[in-house]
Amino acid sequence: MRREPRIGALAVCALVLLISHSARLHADNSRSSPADAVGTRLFADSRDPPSYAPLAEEDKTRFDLGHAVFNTHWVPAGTPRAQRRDGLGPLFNADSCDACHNEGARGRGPQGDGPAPPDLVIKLESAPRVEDEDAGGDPVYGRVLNTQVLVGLRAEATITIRYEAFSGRYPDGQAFTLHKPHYEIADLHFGPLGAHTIIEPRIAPAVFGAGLLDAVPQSAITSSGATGAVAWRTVNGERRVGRFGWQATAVSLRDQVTQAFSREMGITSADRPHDDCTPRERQCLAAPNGGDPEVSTELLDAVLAFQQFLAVPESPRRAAGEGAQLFRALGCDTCHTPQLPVELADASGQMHSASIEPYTDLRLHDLGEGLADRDVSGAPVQSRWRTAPLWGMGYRLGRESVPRFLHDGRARTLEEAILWHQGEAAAINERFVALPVQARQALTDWVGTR
Amino acid sequence: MRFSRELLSTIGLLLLVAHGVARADDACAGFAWDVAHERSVFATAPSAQQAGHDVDSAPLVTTDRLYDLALSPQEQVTLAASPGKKALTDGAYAGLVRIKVASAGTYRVSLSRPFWVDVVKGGALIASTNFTGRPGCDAPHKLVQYPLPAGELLLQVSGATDDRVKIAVTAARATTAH
Repeated sequence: MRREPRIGALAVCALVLLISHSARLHADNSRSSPADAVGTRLFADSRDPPSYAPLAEEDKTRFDLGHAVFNTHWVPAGTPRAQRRDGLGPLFNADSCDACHNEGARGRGPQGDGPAPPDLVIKLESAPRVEDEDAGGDPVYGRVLNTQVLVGLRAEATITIRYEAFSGRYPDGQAFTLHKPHYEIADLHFGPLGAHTIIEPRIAPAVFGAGLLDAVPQSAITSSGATGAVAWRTVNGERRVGRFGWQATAVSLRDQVTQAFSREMGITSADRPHDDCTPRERQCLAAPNGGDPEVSTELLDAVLAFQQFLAVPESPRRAAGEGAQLFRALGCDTCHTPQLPVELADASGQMHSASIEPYTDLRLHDLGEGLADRDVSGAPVQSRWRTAPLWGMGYRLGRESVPRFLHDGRARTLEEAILWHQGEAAAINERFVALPVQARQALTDWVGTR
Repeated sequence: MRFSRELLSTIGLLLLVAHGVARADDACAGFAWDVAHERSVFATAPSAQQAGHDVDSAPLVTTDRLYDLALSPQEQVTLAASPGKKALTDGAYAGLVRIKVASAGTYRVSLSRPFWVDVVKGGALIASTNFTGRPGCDAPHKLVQYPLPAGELLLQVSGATDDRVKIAVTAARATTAH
């Protein structure tokens, strides 16, 4: 189906000419000098990811232990000799952090039609969504649909994904195809999901640079001039800014990590002393535990230290400056904010100001009905998404032969990901589709080197 | 973006649901790679072997055969190299086997369980180039791809959560996603 151009051809030509000229005058000046921004490091060995800065000996010890905990396969409570690593389940999605966030990276996601992979979880939320409030999970199945289970129990459900392909055309006649996922939730152990439950497919996000995002001052996210909305959350009576997760539902790295331990691995912590078992799930509630809590405070602190200090992988590739100019000219940088300030402690504990280049504003944006979550009836639910950080993209694309993008992995290329942007990004989408093919390629090439 | 699709979409979805019911029964369907050869090897009767507790006691295995390895408590095993992935090993099992690779090329190590595996040559790890797996499938569960030189190498399983694992080494075929 042919798209109707919304921007005059002359205006687009002028934009492209201006950008081309500008790009010749300035080489790729979009990357700040290392002295300006912190956080990225060359990942020479993906199995030994570095910290973003030199660490004091005590922090280095915790970082290394945390890396080991991150990789550890947890085992059921009572497993002989298991000591520090028992307590998995009884319901879970994966048995290690690394199973979904391989070496700190984002999950690979679905590679095509078939069973949902472990790194794509179905979160469940009670409707209606209420700003600033935790509405809770499904009344029967809880916060996450757990597809793995210990021997002797039944998994909550099976999840199969089928993609529906849509074709479209750019104004220049070039064709594109998008893939819309359909989730078939079957074998529900305790009957149907709640009538008002929202189904939220989510790929495990990368954890690179998580500690740096945690170090962004709240004031930098709440500044009044920015677009979108602040993800205000009330936690223990305190109003805080959400900044982790696809919808910024977690207010801190610790909040995010303990949620994942509890809901996706069935491992309790001091912060979250219960698994994701509902009153209906009696066997889950009665299952033996692997200690109280199951992940000790020492190991939790270590895995937090690993993610707090973990660097962002530097891109091994560079792209021409034209893409950077287009990124700004189209307005992508309105939400994918190149730089944010951070307040960091150095190895001696002294606080200092610096900046990072995550390409996110850590704010929420409505990207339209096409990307919105759906309730059990299939009706779309208004969904606002935290701007996904683009840092680490170059490293990702160098490693992954079949990359997947967006919160559910539906996009198979950066171009497809951009085409799915509607809602608040509709005008930017229109400008993108009106570009000549070479300019579209220059933009995606450049984004692919962040 | 507008697509006129409602009727076709509904029909398509119904067909997909019907198709999905059939496929969901096979936990080993849907690998991202073509694993037909590995699946056929895993369909054969395995040869039981006690994995070595050090390099000298590591038994020799061959390509294109399925082995059912008995592992030992990891604290009783002297590994040939530090595992490529750091992890807590409380209660873990480990073991070693030797394999002779006739010609250099890309090979896959397939395991029935999601255990960590390294290939070691001269005390150094050979870096893997890719991996895939299928939850709920144990024939195989996980495949790791390596560029292997010709000659004798060591396979080292570590951090295992159980004392048995089936394993096979095969020459790689296509890894294209479906």
